[in-house]
Amino acid sequence: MHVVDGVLSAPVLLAGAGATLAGTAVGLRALDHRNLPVTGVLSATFFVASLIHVPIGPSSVHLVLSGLLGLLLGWLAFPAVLVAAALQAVFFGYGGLFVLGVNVANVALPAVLLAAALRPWIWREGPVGTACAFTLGAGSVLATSLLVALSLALSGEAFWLPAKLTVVSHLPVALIEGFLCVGALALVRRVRPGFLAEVWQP
Amino acid sequence: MIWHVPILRGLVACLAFAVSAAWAHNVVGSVFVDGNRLEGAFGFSNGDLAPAGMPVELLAPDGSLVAEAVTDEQGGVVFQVSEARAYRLVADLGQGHVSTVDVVADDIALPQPASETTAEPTAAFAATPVAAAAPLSSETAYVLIDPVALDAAVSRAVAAQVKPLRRELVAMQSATRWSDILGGLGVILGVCGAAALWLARRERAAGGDS
Repeated sequence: MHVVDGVLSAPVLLAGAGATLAGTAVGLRALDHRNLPVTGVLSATFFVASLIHVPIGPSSVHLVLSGLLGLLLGWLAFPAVLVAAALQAVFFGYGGLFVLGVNVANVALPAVLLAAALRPWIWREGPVGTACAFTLGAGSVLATSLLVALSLALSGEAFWLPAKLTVVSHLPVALIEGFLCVGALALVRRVRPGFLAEVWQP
Repeated sequence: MIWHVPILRGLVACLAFAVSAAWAHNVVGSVFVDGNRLEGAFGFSNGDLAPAGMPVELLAPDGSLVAEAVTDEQGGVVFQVSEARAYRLVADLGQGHVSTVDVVADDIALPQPASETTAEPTAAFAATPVAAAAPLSSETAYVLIDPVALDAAVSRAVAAQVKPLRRELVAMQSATRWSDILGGLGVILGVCGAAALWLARRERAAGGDS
């Protein structure tokens, strides 16, 4: 999910940085002492998740967990991903500091928007809530891979073929993250029923 | 920026598994200069080699394209250059995974032109009495070794020995270390601590006002 430095054009970099700044600002306004620990833990989880390679066929892909962040953090996913992605760039050499804004926006934006869109139904017990959680987990990953392809396309590269390839190669991760989101939602419901109301309060 | 990034080429040739491999890991590259041969090796940070058929471009300092090639089964590529100047190898493994490796001009040793090479050994050896006294036609069992050829042979032999070490070194340098992971987690913890401090101050300030 990380685009490296020097590939994207300046307008794309600026747009990504702008989106990340705005998202982080919105997220930080919602920050209080109740959701701070969750934000930190999920930021750390996101930071480490990229190291977990899921072997699929001849190759392997790594987890993103953006859907989970969108579900549990809302707009706070932006600062969480920003901190983690900056550290990934510094420590692991994933992406780079110039493209940080684009990478963060590509990961966090679909997750936050999808989570907000599915919010009215994701509460429900039964198949509707489960389907929503799955859509959130899987959809975030696929939307992110499309956004990455779009970022590259806006910088002068072809769109449809890379987009198709990345979506196909991320289908397994999307499936895993879909189930992961369903599991996480079920766990949160059982352990702390009021949690989602706290996260998504205005 | 003197260096421009080339437009993605040859992506049509990408296989889906190659792309997912590129997504999962960092792309690493190294280059070894042997005379005027630039031997690039590209792969992923987990030690996997770059798949065959990936486009690699040789760029001049002004960003102009000097030559193009595709990787072999070993993720390697070889360019023969005719000028001793700085070069940049750009391997495009698709989807924004680009690895660039620079070559400095000093590392490149151009071979002597053909006319000089033939004249050179005799000239060089003529200075030493042994060579001068022992032309090939004489019965003495001296063998005249072309120093240029000897040099090239030694370079090739050393290059062959060093190649796997180089690959290992690159893989090691780019491997994820536990200290990096723990360091990152520590920074996140610190950021959270700072945020908690800021929140506490804000709440205290708000409490003081009311």
